[in-house]
Amino acid sequence: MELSRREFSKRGLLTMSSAMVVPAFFQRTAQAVETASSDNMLVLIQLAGGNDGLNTVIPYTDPLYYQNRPTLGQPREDVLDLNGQLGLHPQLTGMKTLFDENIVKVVQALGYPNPNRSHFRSTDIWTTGNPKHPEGTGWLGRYFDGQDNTKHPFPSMALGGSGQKALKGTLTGAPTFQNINSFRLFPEKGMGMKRDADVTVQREKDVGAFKALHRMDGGHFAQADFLKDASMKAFVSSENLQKMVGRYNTPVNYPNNGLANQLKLVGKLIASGINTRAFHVAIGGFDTHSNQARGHAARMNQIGGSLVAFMKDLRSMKRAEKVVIMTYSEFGRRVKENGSRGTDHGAAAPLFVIGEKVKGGILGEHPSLADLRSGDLKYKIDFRTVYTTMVEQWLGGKTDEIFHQKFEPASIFA
Amino acid sequence: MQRLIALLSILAFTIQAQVVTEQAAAQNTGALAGKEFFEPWKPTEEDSWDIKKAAHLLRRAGFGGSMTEIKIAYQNGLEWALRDLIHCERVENPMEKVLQDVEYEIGDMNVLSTLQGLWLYRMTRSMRPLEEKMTLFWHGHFATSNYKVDLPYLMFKQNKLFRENATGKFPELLQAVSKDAAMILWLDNQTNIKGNPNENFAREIFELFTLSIGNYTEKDIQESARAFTGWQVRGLNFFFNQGQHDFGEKTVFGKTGNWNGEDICDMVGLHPATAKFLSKKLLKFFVMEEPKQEYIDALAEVYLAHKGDMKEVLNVLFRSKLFYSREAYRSLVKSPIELTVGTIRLLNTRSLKNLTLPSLDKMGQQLYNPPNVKGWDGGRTWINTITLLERNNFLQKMLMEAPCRNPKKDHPIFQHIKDKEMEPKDAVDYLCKALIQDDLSDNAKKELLDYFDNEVAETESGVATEGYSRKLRRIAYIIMTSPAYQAN
Repeated sequence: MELSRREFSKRGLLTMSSAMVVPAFFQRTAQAVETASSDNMLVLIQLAGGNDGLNTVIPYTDPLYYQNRPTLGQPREDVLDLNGQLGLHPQLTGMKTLFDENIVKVVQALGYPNPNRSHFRSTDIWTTGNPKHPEGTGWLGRYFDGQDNTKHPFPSMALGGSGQKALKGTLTGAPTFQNINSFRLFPEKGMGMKRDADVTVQREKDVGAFKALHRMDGGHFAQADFLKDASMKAFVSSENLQKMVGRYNTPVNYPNNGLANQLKLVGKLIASGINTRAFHVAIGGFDTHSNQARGHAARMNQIGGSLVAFMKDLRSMKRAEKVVIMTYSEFGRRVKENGSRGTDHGAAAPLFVIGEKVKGGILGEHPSLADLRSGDLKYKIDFRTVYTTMVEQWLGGKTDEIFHQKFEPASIFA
Repeated sequence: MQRLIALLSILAFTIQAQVVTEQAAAQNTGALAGKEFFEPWKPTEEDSWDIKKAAHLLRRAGFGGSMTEIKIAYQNGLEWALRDLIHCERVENPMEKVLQDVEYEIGDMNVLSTLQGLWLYRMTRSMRPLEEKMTLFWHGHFATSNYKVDLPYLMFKQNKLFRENATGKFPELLQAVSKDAAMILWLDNQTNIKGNPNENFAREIFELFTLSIGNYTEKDIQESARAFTGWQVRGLNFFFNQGQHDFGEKTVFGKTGNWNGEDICDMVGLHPATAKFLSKKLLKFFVMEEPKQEYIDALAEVYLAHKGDMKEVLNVLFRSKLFYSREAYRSLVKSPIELTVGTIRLLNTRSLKNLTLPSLDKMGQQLYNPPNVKGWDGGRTWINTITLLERNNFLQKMLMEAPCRNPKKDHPIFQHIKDKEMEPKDAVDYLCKALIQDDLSDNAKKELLDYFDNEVAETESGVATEGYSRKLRRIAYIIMTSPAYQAN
C-alpha cells in the first residue's frame, strides 16, 4: 500500500495502520505511538576527542588569539562573523546559515570545576553529569529512569559514540542501532538458512509459532503473565519499528559523510513516528595534536553541511519544532598551539544548541585569553546548567534525582 | 597437664556437639527453624518429590542442570541432592587445579575480560554450583565495580575472597571484606585519615552491607568512620597505617571505647537489623521476588540462631516448606548470568567468551562491574523490550553457533532425540520436559506440535540430517522464548 509523501504526513501513521487488518495488540501500540511522538526530542552530537573550541567560535578581534595561534589562527577575513567580535570557523558555513535564521544558540565557556584532561574520565564526566563520581548511569539514563516509559519501548537510541553511556540508566538503556535489521526477534539470517527466499518463509513460520505460543496462557506459575506480556510487547515493538522505519524516504540530499549518515537515520526514525525522545550520534577525529588545520576544517564542514540537511529534513516532515540538537565534546584544547601545528587537551569550550524553538544568539562571554588556568581557558558556565535546561524546559521533568544539585537553567529557549 | 586435659575435654565436647547438631540438621531443624515456612518440607501423596522440584532446586541453588543431572537429583532424592550442594567442600572440583595454574601462570589477570571469561567458565563447569552461586550473591551484595577500582587483579582477589567464604559465616566474611583492597579503594577509605575522616566506607557498610537504612544515626557513621581511619591499601594488599589511625574514644550505638574497624564489624555482623536485611536479600535471590515480612522475620531468626553461618541458613532454606511451595515455584526472573550459564549447562556447549560477554552487557549484567554500590536490583527489572530482544537473540546464537563440547555429536538434548529416532510428538514432548519441565499449557504444546509437523513434512527420511538438527533447534528456540524458560 504505497502512500505518497504528502499523504503520509497528512494522514499520519494512525489512520494508515487502522486501515489494515492487524492484530489488536499491534493497533493499540500504533495508537500509543502517534500521541507519544508529539513529545519533544533531543539529538546529542558527540564530537569525540576534544573539539578545539577556540578555532570553532573565534574571538578574532583579540590579538592574543593570533599570538597564540601563529599557524592555526583563522584569517580575519575568512572568519564568519557573528557579532563583530566573535566568528565561526570559515568551514562552518552550514552553522552560520542556521545562526542567521536565529535558531542557533552558541553557549560559551562550558566546563566544570577541576577540569580533567583524560579523554575517558572527561567523557564520563560529561555523560554521567557527575564530575566528582563519574561512574555509573548517564544523565539522560537517569532522566528516563524517572519517566513513565510504558508508552516508550525505546525511550532513547544510540547510533554510535562512546558518549552513548549518557543514555544508560539503571532501568533503561538505549539500543545501539546501527543496523535496523538485526534489531528484531528472529533476526533473519539467524537460523542457518542459506537462500534469502527460504529465510523469509522460515521467519514467517517461526513468528507464527511464537505468536501462537504466546496467545496461549503462559502457564501456571508466578511470573508467567508478566513474562508473557513483556515478551509479546518486545516482539510487537520491534516489528512495529521495522515496519514504520521502512516507509520513510527523505526528500533531502544529505552529504555523504559519517555525521550526515547518522542524522539521516535519526530523521528516518523520527519520521516513522516512533516515540523515541533522545538520540545519540557521534563523530570522531577531534583529538588534533598535530597538523590540525586540514582535519579540523573538514570536520567543521561536515558538521555544518549535515546540520543544514538535517534541519531541512525535519522541516519537510514537519517535525522541526519538536527537535533540539546539541553538540558536546569532552573538553576544548589549549590556547597556545604546540610545536606540531596542533593543540593539546584543554578545558573550557563552547557548544551549540540548534532548533526551531531555540532563541538564537550567543550566551555567555568568551573566556579570557589572558587569564588562564595552566594554559587553559577557564570555564564560566557549568555544563550541567545546559543539561538542566534540556530536562526542565525541553524534555519535561525534574533534575533533583539526576544531578543532586540545583542548577539554574540557561537562557536557551527564551 | 591439667590444662591439656581441660583442652581435650572441651575439644571432645565440641566434637560431640558438632555431631549432635549435624544429626539434628540431618533430621529436621524443628526448634531452630522459626515459623512454619521454614520447617522442612516433607513429601506427601499429593505433593511428592518430582522432576520439577529437582530442577527447581538445581536452578535456584546453582545454575540449573542438564537432563541427566536433574534426573539423578530426582532419583536420589532431596537429602542427597542437598548434601552435595551445601557441603560443597566435600565435592572435588577437577578443573580447580588447572584454573589456578591458568590464573597464576598464564592468564593476564589485569585484563577484565579475562577475569570475566574465567569466572564464567567456573560457573558453567563447577561441580560446586552453590559455591559459585553464593560467590555471585556476595558480588552483588558487596557490590564493587572495576569501573572505579580500575585494577582487575584486585577484583580477582575480591572474587576469591567471596568464593572462599561463599557458604561461610557472614561476620567473618564482613571482617575480611572490610580489609579487601578493592573495597577500600572503591569506598574511598584510602583517604579516610585521622583528623579528616571520609565517611563513605562506614556509611555504605551500614546502609548497604549490614544494618540498612534507619538502623543507625549519622553520629554512628561519623564515629565509625574514625574507627576505620588508616585502613589503607599499599601495593595490592591491606595495610594498617598506624600513623593515620584515630586511636581515640568513639561512641557507636551508645557504646564507648577505643573502637577500631574490627570492633565495628563485630557490632553489626549479628545485629538483628543485619539479620533481617540479609534475610530479605537471600529470599529475593533464592525464593521469591516479593517475600512477605513474616518470611523475612522468620529467616532472620534462623540467621541469628546459627550466628550467621550461611551453610546452616541455606540448609534450612533449601529444604523448607516455603521453598517448595507453589508461591516459590518459577517465581523469579532469570538474571542474565542465570540465563547464560544455565543455557550453557543445559545444552552442554562451550562457553564462548566473545559471544557471552557482550550479550551479558546488553542484557544488563556485567561481571565485576555492577552499576553502583547497590548492586543489581534484579527481578523484573531485568526485563524490558531491549533486554528481552537481547536475551532471545542470545539464545538463538547459542543454539545456532555455540559448538558442542563433544565435536562428534550434537548437544545431548538433540542427540538423544536423534538417537531414539523420536516421532514428532515425542520429540516435542521431550524438548518441553528437558527445557522447561513441561511448564506450559497443553494448548501451547499443541501449537508446538503443529509447528513441528509442519516442518517434518519437509525433511528427508534420515533424521540425522543437518536440516533436522536445525528444525529441532528452531523448536527449542521457540520454547526458550516462552515465559517458563525466562523465569527461574
